[in-house]
Amino acid sequence: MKPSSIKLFSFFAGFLAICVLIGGYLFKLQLLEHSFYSKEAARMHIFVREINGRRGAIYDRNLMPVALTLPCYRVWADPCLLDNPRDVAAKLAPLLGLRVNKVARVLADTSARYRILRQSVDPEDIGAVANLGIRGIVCQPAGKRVRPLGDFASNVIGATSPDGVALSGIELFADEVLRGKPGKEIFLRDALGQIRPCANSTVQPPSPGNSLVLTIDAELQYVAEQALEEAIRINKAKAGGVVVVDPWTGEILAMASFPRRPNFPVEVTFEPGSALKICTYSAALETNKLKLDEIFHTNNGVLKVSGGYIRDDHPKDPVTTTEAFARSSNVVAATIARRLGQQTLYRYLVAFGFGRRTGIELKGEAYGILRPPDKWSKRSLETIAFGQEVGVTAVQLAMAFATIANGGQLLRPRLVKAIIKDGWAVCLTKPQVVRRVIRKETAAKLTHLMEAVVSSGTGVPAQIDGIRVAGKTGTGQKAQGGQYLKGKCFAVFGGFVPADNPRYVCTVVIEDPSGWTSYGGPVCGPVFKKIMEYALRRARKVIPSTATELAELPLDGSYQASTEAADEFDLASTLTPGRQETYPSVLGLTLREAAKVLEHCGIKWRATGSGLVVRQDPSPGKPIDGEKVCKLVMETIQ
Amino acid sequence: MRKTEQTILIIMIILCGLGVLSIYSSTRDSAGYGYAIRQVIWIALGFALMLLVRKIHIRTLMAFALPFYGITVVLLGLVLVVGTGPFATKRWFDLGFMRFQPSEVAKIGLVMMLARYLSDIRGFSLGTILKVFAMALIPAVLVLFEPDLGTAVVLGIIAFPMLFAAGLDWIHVIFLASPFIALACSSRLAAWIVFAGLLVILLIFGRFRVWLVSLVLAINVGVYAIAPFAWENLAQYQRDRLIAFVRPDKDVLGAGFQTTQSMIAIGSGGIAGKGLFKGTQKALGLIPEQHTDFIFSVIGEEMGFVGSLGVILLLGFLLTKFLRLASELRDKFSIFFCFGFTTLLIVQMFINIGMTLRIMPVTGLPLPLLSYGGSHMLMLWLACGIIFAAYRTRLEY
Repeated sequence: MKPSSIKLFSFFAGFLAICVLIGGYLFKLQLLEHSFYSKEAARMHIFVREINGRRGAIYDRNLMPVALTLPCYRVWADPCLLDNPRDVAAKLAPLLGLRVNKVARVLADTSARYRILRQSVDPEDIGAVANLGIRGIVCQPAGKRVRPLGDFASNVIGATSPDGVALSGIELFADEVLRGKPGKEIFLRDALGQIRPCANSTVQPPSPGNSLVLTIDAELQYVAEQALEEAIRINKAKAGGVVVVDPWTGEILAMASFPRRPNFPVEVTFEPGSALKICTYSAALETNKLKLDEIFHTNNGVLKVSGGYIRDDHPKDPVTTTEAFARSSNVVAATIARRLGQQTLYRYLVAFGFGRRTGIELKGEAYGILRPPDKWSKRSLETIAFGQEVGVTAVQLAMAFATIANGGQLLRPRLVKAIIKDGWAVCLTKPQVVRRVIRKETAAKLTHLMEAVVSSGTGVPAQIDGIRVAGKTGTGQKAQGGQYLKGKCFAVFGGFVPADNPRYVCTVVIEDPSGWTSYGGPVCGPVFKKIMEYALRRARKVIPSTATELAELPLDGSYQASTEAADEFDLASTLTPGRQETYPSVLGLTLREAAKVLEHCGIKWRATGSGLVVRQDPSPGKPIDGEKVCKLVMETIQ
Repeated sequence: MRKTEQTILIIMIILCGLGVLSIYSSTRDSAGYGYAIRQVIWIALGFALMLLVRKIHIRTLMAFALPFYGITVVLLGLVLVVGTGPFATKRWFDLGFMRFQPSEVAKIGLVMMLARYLSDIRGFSLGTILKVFAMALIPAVLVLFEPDLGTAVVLGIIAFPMLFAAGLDWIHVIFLASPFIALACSSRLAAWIVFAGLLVILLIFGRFRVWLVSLVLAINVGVYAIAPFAWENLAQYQRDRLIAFVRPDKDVLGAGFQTTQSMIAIGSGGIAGKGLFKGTQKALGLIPEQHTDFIFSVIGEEMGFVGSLGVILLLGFLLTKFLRLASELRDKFSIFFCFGFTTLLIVQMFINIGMTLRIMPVTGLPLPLLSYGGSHMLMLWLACGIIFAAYRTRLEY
C-alpha cells in the first residue's frame, strides 16, 4: 500500500508552507528591518567612554613645576585571548617588575576580561612590553600626577585621585581649566558586561588641559613652611598658618598650613584679638574721631563696661595714642569704639573684608564671624574694638593688613597668576580692587602706629635689622559654649615690610601655643621675622620693585558696596584668549614666554639682559595705546 | 550508488560543512578548533555508520526495530537515574569523551518502531490507534521527565504524520490531534471556545458514530479541564519559556533575552551578512547555546539573508529528495520509516529555526545536520543509512 499522491502532495504542501513562512520571516528581519536590528546590534555591544586629556601642569610664579602629569601606560590583559598564560607571564613579569607566579595566576583566571597588571608604566619601559606583541596584552596611554616637590604647598595645590579626578585645593578649583576636553573612545562589551579590546578605539582624541601659574613663590613658601613648623615645635602648639601677600597686587606669595589639612589660613576661623585694633584705629582716624597726639587717661588700665571690666595687660596712665596702640591697650580701643558707635565700627569692619569670603581661588573658604550691630550685646561695641566676639581667617587678616600697606585699598587675594595654553599664556589675572577702605593719609598714620608696635611695643620680637617693620600683635582667646577657655588661644601677628615702601605683607597665626608664653609677639613675631628677612634678602639681590604702582581705581564711595562680584569670580570665564586692553604682566616669565604673551596681545617688545623678566615698561595694567611697545629687562635669578 | 543517493549525500555533506564552519565561528574565541574538530569526527563516524548500515538488508534492519526501541526506552529510563545535564536536568550520559544523549536515539527508535508496527496492521481500529499512541507516549513521557519538553513534543507529534501516511483518514487525524490543539488553546478561554465550536460543528455534520463524537468531546473538555494542573507541574524554566513565547514583551527571567539576541543577530546580518567569522553578536557571547541550538542565528548573522535562505533551500531540497525516494519504495516499513524520518527533520527544522526567529518557543532541539552534537549527528547518518538500505533493496518487492 502506497500513500496516495494527494496525501503526498498535502504533505509536501504543508512543508512548503513552513519554508515560505520561515523565508518570509527572514525577509522581514534581514531586509525590511535590517537597519533597526543593525542599530540594536551596535547598541548592544559598542559603548562610548570618555578619555581624559592630559591634565595641565601647575607652576609656581617662577615657573617651577609643582604638579605635573607625566605620560605613562596602563598595562592590562584579557586572559581569554591568551594562548599560553604561563609563557606570557614568564616574558611579561620581568618587564613589569612583577613576580612571575603572581602574573601567571592573574592571567590564568579567565573569569574577567579586564585585568590591570600595572597601573602606570613609564614610556621608556613600555616599548619592551609592546614589542612582545602579545594579543590580549594592552598598553593603554594614561597619565600619572606627580609632585616634584613632594608634600610642599599641598594645602594650596590640593590632591588628585590616581585616575586623575581632582579632590581639593587649586586642583579642584581650577579643574575645568586643568582637565582639558575629554575625547571619546569606543569599546566593546560582551554579554557579561566585560570590556573587550577594540582596535582603533579612539574616535575623538582628547585635548590636553591648560597649565596654571600660581602666584605662590616656591622658595618663599618653603621658608614659610619651615619657619611655621619650627615655631609650632618650639611653642608646643597644635596648628598654625602663614600667609604672605603682595600688598599691591593681592598675589599670595606663600600660604603655609600646619597641618596641611585643613588649609589653616583659609578654612580656620579664629578670634584675632588685638590685631583687629588696626580696624578700630583706622575707622577713628578716617572719621577724624581720633588724633595721633591725643592723651588718654585709662584709669590704670581698667574700664567698666556692661557686666564687668576691661583690663589692660600692660597698663599705663596717661598714654598717648601711639603708646596705647603699641602697648595694645584694650581700654583705649574700647574708648575709641565708644566714640565711633556701633554702626561706624561695623561698617569699617565690613569694609576691611571681615565676615565675608575674600574670593580666593580655593573651595571651602570660611566666612568668618561678624554679627550685625542689632545682634550685639551691651558690651559688644567695646570688646569687638579689641578683637573679641569676631572670627576671622588668616587670609582676611592678611588682606586687611595689605589694605593699610598699599594705602587704603582692599584687594582680592589671588593664587592664579596666569593660565598657559600650548606653552603660552592665554590669561593673565590682574589685580582686583574690591574697594577703597581708608584714605592714603589714614593708611600712613596707621603705618606709623604699627611701626611703633615693632620698635617699642608688643611686637619687638619681629624687629629686622636695618628695615622698618610695621606690625600688630594679637592674642585671641578660644571660646566654647559662651565661656573663654583657659590656656587655649590663638597667637597672631600681622605686618608688612619695609614700612616706608611695603613689599610683603605677612600674617602668622599659631593655635594653642603652650610654651613659656602664648602672646602673639613672642610666639609669632620670630616667624614673621624669619620669613620677611629671607624675602627681603633675596629681593635685594635680584628682583627690583615688583610693587608696580596700582592704578587708582574710582572710589565707589559707599563702604556697604557689595563684594558679590568678587565672590562669584569664575576662573574659567576669564579664559578668553586675545581680549587684552591693558598691558599684561610678563614678570617672572622667560623671554620666549613673554614674547608669546605680548605678541598675542599685538604688542611689540624690546629686551635687554637674559634670564627672566624682572621689569617691564609700561608696567602691567596700563592701558594699551600708542606705539604698543614694551621694554623688558631680563635678569638671571639664582 | 545511485544518483539519488549521491545527490542526497552531497547536500548532506554541504550542510554538514556549513555547520562545521558556523560551529568554528561561534566557538573559536573560547575553544579554538575544539568543537569544529569534534564535529568533523562525528560526521566522519556517522558517514562510516551510514555506509555500514546501507549494506544491511532492510528485513534485518526491520527485525532490529523492536529491540532498538526497547533499548531506547531502557536508556531513557536509565538517564533519569544516572544522567547529567544543564540546570539540574538529566538529559545525557557523561561518557568522558562524549555526552551521549538517549533522546536523540529515541527519535529514530520511535520512528523505526512505529514504521514496523504500522506495516503489520490491516486497517485501523481504536485499539491500533491506542497502541500507536502508547508507543509514542512511553519515550515522550520519559523525556518529559528529564525534563526536555521540546523533544517530548517532537516524539508526540511524529505519530500523526505516520498514521496519516499509513492511511488514516485526515478527519480522524484531526480528531486525534484535537486534544493537543485544545491543550495549546487552554491558556485562552476564547481560543478554546472557537476551537471547540469548530470541532462540534465538524462532529455534528460529519455523521460519525455517537460513541466517537462523545469520546472526542469528552477528551477535549477533559484536556481543557486538567490543563491548569499540567501547568502547575511544569518546571519553572519551561513555564518561563512558554510565557516568553506567548508574551515576548514580558521578559521572564531573561527567557526572552535569548530570542531577542538571536533576532538582533539575524536581523543585523542583512542581505549578505557580516562575513564568515566576522559576526559581532556571537563574538561577544550575546547568543546563548550558539553552537548547538542557536546555530542558525550565527548563519543568519554571518551569511545574511542569502546564506540563511540557502540553508533552508538546501534542507528543503534534501527533504523533498527523501520524499521522492519514499515514493519509489514499495514495502510499507521502508515507506513509513522514510516518511517518519522526513517529518522528524521537518518538525525539528521548523521548531529550531522558528525559535531563533521567535515564531516558536525556545526548546533544546538541534537544527538537523548543522547543530553541534555527536548523538544527533550519528543518528541522522544512521537513519540515512537505513533509508539507503531500503532504497538499495527496493526492487526485491
